[in-house]
Amino acid sequence: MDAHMDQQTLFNPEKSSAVGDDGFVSCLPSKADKSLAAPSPNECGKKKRVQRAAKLKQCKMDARREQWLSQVSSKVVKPDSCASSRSSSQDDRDEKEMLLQTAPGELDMGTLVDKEGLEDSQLKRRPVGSTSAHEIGHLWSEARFCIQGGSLLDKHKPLTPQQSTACSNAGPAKPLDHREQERKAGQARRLDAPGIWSTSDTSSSQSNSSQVSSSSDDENDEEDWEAVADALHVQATVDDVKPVKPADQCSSLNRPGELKSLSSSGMDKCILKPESKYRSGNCGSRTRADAGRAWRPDDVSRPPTLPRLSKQHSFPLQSGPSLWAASHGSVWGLPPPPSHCPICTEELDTTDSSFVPCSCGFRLCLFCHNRILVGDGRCPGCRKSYNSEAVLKLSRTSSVRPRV
Amino acid sequence: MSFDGGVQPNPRGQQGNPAIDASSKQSTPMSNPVETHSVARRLQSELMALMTCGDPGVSAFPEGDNIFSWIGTIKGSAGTVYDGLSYKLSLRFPTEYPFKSPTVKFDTPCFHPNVDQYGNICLDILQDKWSSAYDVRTILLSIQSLLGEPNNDSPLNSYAAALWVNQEEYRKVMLKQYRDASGVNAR
Repeated sequence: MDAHMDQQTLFNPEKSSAVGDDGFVSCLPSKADKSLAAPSPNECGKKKRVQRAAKLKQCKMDARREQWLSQVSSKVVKPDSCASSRSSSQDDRDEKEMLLQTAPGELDMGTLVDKEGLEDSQLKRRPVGSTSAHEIGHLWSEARFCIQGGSLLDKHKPLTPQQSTACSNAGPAKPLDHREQERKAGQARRLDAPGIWSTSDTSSSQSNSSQVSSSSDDENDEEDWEAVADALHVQATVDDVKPVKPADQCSSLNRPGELKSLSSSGMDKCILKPESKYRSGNCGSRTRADAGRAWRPDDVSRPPTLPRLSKQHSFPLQSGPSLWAASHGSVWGLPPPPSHCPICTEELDTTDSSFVPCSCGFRLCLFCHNRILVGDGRCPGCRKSYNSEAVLKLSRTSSVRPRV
Repeated sequence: MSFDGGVQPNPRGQQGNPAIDASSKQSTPMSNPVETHSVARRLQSELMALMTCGDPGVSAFPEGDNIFSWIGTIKGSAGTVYDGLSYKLSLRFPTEYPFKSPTVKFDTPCFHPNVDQYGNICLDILQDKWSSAYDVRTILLSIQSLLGEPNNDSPLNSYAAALWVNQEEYRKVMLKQYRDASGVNAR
């Protein structure tokens, strides 16, 4: 954390002052520092104009993207869900490997470098700004507008202490961040707490900008399709898997069909890693790690595997037919209670209800089965031996004498 | 719920069953309180099921406050020589129940090819054909069915088995024994 902050300030010493008003964009400066030249302080006004223009453009982009996503989601996401989920899980694996390989101090740089190629190519393809300041400004504004897009419809909110902590943590040792951000909050309708967190994490803004650029640049085909599909999946899976999360402040900010990966990662960050807002300097790697951790079950339960998840969830329900079969397989006219062991009347848990020891379909709990195995080892439902049905030796001879 | 008493060699629970102890036919019940509790739980569940979905002709209730000892009642099915007669039975449940069958005997003397003079019943499901899926209700229904359909091939009462072919004579003898038993035993 501290190492990273030092690294960051080390990388862009002049940018800390020049870009102070964008204090919540903490990781971007290092990235921009690596790929682009640093902006000079007199370009701030220019940058704001660019931001305003970019905001307008962003609104159009968002509209186009919404439209495009609504078209795509029916066509692409469902047939390509396997490929996209595979690619996304592949991405997550790669990022995790990257995280594992890089030293803690180099985490952000590693992930940034990892994400940089695509981003830079998309940046250079975009005919927005010729100067580096334009690009940076555009990138930042885009990143911020990506977040703002979620909160554009929201009412202007004053800064909360959470936000201020997030802001102060976002910009390493920049006291003017608060003022600047409050001013910006007055200017633009933004600066919700999750927005700030999301803004301060580079990866989500990167992914978002990549999506936006994919929507804007029509020639970006496959990776962007995958990215968008991935974002859609993330949103879908997040909505599916975590419906009970107390993520009201995050999810309420989202317009439907917009900023999906951002909102999901923001949600994950808000809920799973609440301390990550205090580590926004490390946020790039943190968020990727969080997202990876948060997505990991979702990766397994991506749309091709969503039926499996629902199967898991509805597993006790699916034991109904088998219990029906068991009740009809038992020849004793003794239909076992649907949820209880017919032997000991204890409730069958999921392990028990999935346990069918005999081909006749008679079900019982594992304890009773074990108990019977200690004894004569015959199925109570059909009297066949559990071990092998050939061992069936019935001593029907002396029925009077009890077997002791 | 636990394993066999032999696997867990705990001394028997404090809630022993004197009826089982007195029974010479049962092996010495070795059980722990958990298992005794689970047996009692199953028996209570059976009692509940028996009382709620009351089958005509069979009934049972614990004898006293001992859940391991029940008194059952069977009415002779219509269309058989036992029609209109009522028989009391005693059911003694071992602590291994339902992995071991209960001991069921006729308290009311019963003239039947498969019932001896002491009330012991020759019924396969009470011996080697016992399954832990059986319960009191199925036992009583089986015995009720056995009354009308004796297995004359392996009789305990060979006189009754031989007399079975002559149903009128059989009913006479059976009714005489029944009235005598009712008068003497007054049960």
